[in-house]
Amino acid sequence: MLNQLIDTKDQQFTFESHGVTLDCMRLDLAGYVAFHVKFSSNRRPLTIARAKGMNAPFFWTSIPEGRQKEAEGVGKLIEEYLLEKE
Amino acid sequence: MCYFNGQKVAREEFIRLKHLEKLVAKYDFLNRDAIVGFDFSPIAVLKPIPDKEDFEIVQMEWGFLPDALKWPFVETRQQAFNMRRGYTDSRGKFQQPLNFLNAVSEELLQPNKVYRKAALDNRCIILSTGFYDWRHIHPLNKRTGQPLKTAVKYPYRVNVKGKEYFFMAGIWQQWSDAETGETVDTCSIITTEANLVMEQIHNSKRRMPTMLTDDLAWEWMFEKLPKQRISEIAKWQIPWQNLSYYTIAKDFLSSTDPTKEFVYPELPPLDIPGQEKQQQGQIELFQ
Repeated sequence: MLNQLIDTKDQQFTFESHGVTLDCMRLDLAGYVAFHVKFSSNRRPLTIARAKGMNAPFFWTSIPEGRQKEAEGVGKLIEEYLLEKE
Repeated sequence: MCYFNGQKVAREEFIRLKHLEKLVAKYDFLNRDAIVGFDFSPIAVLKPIPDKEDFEIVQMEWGFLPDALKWPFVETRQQAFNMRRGYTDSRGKFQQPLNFLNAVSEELLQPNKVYRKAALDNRCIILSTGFYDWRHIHPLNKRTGQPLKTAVKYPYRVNVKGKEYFFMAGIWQQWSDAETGETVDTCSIITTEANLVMEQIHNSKRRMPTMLTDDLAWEWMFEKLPKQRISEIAKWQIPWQNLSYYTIAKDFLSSTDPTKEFVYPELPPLDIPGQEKQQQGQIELFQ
């Protein structure tokens, strides 16, 4: 269900978490889905995507590399938002 | 196995993520459903980084331009344009176009062949989500019952089953314009003998791109290969069972969605031994 939500949900959505507004844009790039996230705080915008891991079915990762921890956290928030909204 | 952001991922996933990096960085980059070879436009290429088992995803001009010092001695953009389109020379003789879009695997390493040096030193992988070829059907003359000379051409989109994208063997060459100093990487896609499916779709030439497995693509890009192995990989035929295909509209190149299936009721299905005749227009013959 989550996969479907991620692949087909709105192109653009906004939600709030811990007092910060996350402005998310879904990017469809030649069959790939990624999210570009802008924050109301000072945090730099972040692009994340789900990847297939060797040890886990999926994990969130930053595109480009370098912001893995943030990607995991923000990815989880997006998942929660989409599931809750549904 | 590779690492992306410190996480273990398979090679294929690593390549997918690297591809995504580029797409995100350049946004309108690569996101094209149909590229016409005769436009000599940029395509997405995995280019090995020298002395590393790593690559970058770059755009290259599809249409190999050989070193200017070698035949056909293309030194300027105008000469490249003339060579690709054909031109009338100073003696009034029309010179046939040479596009170098595809490199024939069987001839790749022949002495003096234009692609030889690149095949030895500059191998790359061309990324594709699907390619197009035309099946030629000769309708029967209603009066004589004989096939007409002019064929009706039906376009097909072909890709690799279960893959969002796949790898085609390629070679590349950096080329510089002697007048302007412009430098560009150009490439050519290797072709091999068509397999059972492709010999029926691309039935006018019976050729297909050399589509590689992940491991062969890796070997093609990174290994120091003897000539025989280069030739073997270049000629490798993807099993026909791995291909999926369907027909698309004849005007697909001007369509907003060139990948959309279009069924031609009059078109007979491909002849696949061991398979029951499929209904006309069915997408997957090999499920």
